[in-house]
Amino acid sequence: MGRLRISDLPRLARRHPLVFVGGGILALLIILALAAPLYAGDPLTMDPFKRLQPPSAEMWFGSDNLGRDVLARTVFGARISLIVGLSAAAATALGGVLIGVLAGYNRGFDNVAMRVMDGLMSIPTILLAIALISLTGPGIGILIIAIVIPQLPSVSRLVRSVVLAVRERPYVEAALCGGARLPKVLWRHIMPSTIPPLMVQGAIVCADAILTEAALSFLGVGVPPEIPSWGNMIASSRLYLAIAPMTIFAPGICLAVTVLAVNLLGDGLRDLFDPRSKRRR
Amino acid sequence: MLMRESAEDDVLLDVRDLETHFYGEESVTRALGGVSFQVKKGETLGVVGESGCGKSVTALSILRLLPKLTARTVGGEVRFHGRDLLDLSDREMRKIRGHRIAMIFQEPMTSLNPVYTVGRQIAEAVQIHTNATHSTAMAKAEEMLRLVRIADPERRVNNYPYEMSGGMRQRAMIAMALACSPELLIADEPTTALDVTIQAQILRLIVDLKERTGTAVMFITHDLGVVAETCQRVIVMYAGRIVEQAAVTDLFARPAHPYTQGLMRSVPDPRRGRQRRLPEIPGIVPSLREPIVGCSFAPRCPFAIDICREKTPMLRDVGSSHAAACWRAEEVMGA
Amino acid sequence: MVSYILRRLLSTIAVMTMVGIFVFLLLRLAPGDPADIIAGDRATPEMVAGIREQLGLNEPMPVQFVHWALSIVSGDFGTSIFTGYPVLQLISQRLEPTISLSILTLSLSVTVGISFGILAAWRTGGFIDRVLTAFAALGFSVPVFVIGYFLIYFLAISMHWLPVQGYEPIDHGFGPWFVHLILPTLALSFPYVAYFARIVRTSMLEVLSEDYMRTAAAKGASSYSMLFHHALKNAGVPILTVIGMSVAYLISGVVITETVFNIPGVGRLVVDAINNRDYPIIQGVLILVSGLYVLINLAVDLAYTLIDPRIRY
Repeated sequence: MGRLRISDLPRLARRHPLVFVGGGILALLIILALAAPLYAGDPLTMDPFKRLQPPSAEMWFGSDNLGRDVLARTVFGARISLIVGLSAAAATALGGVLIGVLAGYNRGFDNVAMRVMDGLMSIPTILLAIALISLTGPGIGILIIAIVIPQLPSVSRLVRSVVLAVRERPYVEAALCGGARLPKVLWRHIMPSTIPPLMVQGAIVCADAILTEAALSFLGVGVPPEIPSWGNMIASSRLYLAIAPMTIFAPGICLAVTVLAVNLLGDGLRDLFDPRSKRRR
Repeated sequence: MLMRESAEDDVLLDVRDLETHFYGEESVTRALGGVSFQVKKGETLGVVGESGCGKSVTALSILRLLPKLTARTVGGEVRFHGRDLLDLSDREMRKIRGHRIAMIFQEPMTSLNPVYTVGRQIAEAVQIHTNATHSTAMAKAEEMLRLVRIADPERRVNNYPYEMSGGMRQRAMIAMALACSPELLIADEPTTALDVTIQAQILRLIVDLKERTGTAVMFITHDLGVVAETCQRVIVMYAGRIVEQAAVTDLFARPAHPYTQGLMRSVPDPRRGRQRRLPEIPGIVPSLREPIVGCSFAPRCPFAIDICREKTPMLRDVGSSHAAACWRAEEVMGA
Repeated sequence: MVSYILRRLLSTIAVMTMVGIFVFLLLRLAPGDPADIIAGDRATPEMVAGIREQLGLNEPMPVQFVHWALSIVSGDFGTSIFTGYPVLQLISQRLEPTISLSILTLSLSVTVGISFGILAAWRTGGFIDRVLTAFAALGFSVPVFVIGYFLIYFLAISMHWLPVQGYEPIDHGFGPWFVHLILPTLALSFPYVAYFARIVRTSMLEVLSEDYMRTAAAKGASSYSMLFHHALKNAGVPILTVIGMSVAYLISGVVITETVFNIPGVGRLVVDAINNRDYPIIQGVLILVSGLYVLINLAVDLAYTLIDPRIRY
C-alpha cells in the first residue's frame, strides 16, 4: 500500500467517499464528546424550576423532566456510545482472532468451539444480553461483555476461514518447513491477511454495539440510569414525548447519525479492501 | 448495391450498417462497425469468424438482447419483413422474439432455467405467443420433444435440466426455439460445447428440421467445416466487420479475402493425415477500443501493402454473388 | 430425506443442549447463592433453605442439570418467583400480541422488501436503486425505538391519525386490533425491509446475469415474468435463508417495540422479569425462543427442496 501522503487525500476522498464521510462524522463526534466539558453545561445538575423547557438560547435543546440540560446530556451521552462501540469492537476482534486462530489450527478445539458458536447464534442478541445483565445488574463492563459474546461467532468464523485458507498457501508451508515456530508464522503471515476483513467486521460490530447499548439502556438493563446515555435519556423521557419532543429526538438523532457514520465507514472500508464488492452492492 | 438485385420479397431479414458499441468504465468498444447482410426465406446463412469478431453481438443486436447497461446499437437498421426491429417498442419486440425469430445458444448446460421442468419451459414459449391453455401447451412441448428425437418424451417433459445430458438439453433448446414455428432461427454456436459425436447429431437435427419446417437459419460458428455441411451462403466476419460473403461453394473454391484463406488452412483436412499441426493465422485480433486505420486485418495479412494500412477497404463485388473487403481480392483469389 | 431430517433433528438437540446448559448456568453462575437471589432481599434463612431444597441445590451440578432439563422437556418450566404462577402459563397469556406483531411485521417486510429489491435489481443504478441505497443506510442505522417515537410523535400525537400506544386483543374486533398494530409494525419493519431488499437485490443481480435469463428473453418473456418467475425462484434459496435467520433478530426487536408502544407481550414479560429478577421466566423465554429459532431454520432448510429441484436430502 505504501505510505499515505497528505497530497493523496483528495484523490482517496474521490475514490472512496464513504470512508471520508463516515470517518469525518465519526472524528467530529469523538472531538465533540471529548471536548464536552469545555462548551456544554453539567449533564447532572437538576433544576426543579426549569422542567421540560422548550429549546432556548440558554438551553439549545431544552431541558428534561428533572430540569437537566438536554444538550449537555446528549454530548456526554456520546461518550458512552463511543466507549461502548469502540471497546466492543476491539474486544470482539481480540476474542475472535484468538478463537478463530486456535480453531483454524486445532481440529479438536475447532469442533467444540464451532458447536458452541452455533448455540450462541441461536439466542437473540438482546435476550442473551438481558440474561447476562440480569445476573450482575447494570454496568458498562458487563454490558460490553454481553454485546461481545453474540458477536464472537461471526468474527471467529471469519478469522478461522482466513486461517484455513492461508495456511494452505505455499509460503506458510515453506516458512514452517524452514523451521519457523508456529506462533511466529501466525503473526507474520496470517495476521496481515485477517486485518482487512477484521476492520470491516469491526465497523459492523461497533455499529451493532452502539445500537445494542442504546436498546439495552432504553429497556433499563444497560448503563446504570444515573449515567447520561442516549438510551437512558430516551427511556426516562418516554412519558414526555408530547410535551418535550427534543428530549427524545436529540439523543435519537445523534444515535442514528453515529451509527450511520460507522456503517458508512464500514461500507467504505469494504470497497477499499475488496473493490469487487462495490459493483455487487 | 450488393446482391440487392434479387427480388425483395424473398428477403426475410435485411441488416444494414449495424453498429453496436460496448461501454466500459473508461472506454468504448466498437464491437460492430457497420455490418450489412440479408437472410432469404428458407435459406441457411453461415456466419463465420474467430471468437470476438462480432458474430454473437450481431445475433444479439438483431434480437435486441444485449445487456442494456453496457451495450447499445448506435446505428443501422434491422429490417424484418421490411419493418425495422430497432424502431419497435419493447412490447412489439417481445412478440417477435421466440415467435417469428427464435434463438439457441452455445451453452446448453446453463441456458435452461434449472428450477423449472424442460416441458414447462417449452410450454412457456407456446403460451407467451398463443392463447393455448397450460395443458395444450404441455402437449405441444411433448410433441416438440418427440420432433427433436428425444427418447421417451412423455417422461422427459417432466424432467429438470439437471436430469439431462448436454446433448439432450440442446435438443430441448431447439424444441423450445421451434415451438412457435419461427421464420428465422438464429443458432449461436449450438454445437461448440458438445462432444464431437453429439455435435454431428445436433447438426443433422437442425438441417433436417430446417428442411421440414422451411425455417431460415442463421448459423453462427467458428468452424468452416460446419458451414460446409449445413449452409448455402456464408459471411465471414473479422473485427466487427464483414470481410467476405459468398455462396458456400464459391467461398471454398475461391476465397477472396486473406483472412478466409487463413481460416481454411486451419480447418483439419482428413485427407492430409493427422501428423501435421494445423497452421494458425499469426498475430492477434486488433483491439476495438481504438479506431482502426486501414484494413483491420493488415497487421496479420501476408498480402498487406501500403494502401492496406492507410485506407479501410469496403466490401465490393469480386464475382457473381461474391463480395470481399480487400484491396487485393483479385490477387488473393488468383493465388 | 427422512435420514436428513433425523440428522438435522439430532444436531438440533445438540444445539438446544448447548442453549440449555447456558440457560441453566445463568442462574447458577449468578454471584451469590441462587436460593438467595430467588428468595430476594428480605428472606429469612428458613425460606432460603426451603428454596434450596425445592430447587435441589444440595445435589451436584450435573444431577441438577439433568433434573432441570428433564422437567423442561416434559413441559414444566417452573414457577414465577414474583407471581407464583407457572412460567408456561404466564408466557402463553402474553403470546397473542407478540405473535400478532411478529406476523404482521414479517408479512410487511417480506412483501415490501422483496418487491423493493427486485425493482432495484431490475434497473441497477436507476432511481429506485438509489432510493434503496439511501433507505438501507437509514434502515441499518436508525434504531427501532427512535423510529417508533418519531412515528408516534408525527402520526399519533400531531396528526391524531392513529392510537399512540396500547394493544387491543383480536376478539375485540379486527379493526381496533389492526389499528393499534399499524405503528408498531411500521417501526419494527423498517430495518427488515431494508435488509431483505438488499439481500434480494444482490441475489437477483447474480441470477439476472445467468444464461437462462437470456434464453427467457429470447422466448419473448415479459419483464414481469422474467423477474418474478425466472429470476426470483432461482434467487429464492439465499433469500429464504436470510428470512429464516432474521426471525431471531425479530424477537429482539419485538422486545423493544413492545416497550415503546406499551404492548403487553412476551417482550414486556421479559423486561419486567429482569426488573423483578424473576429468573424462571427469563430462562423459559430464552429456551422457547431459541427452540423456535432452531425449528424455523430446520423448516427453511426443508423448504429449499420446494424451491430448487436440485437440492435433495
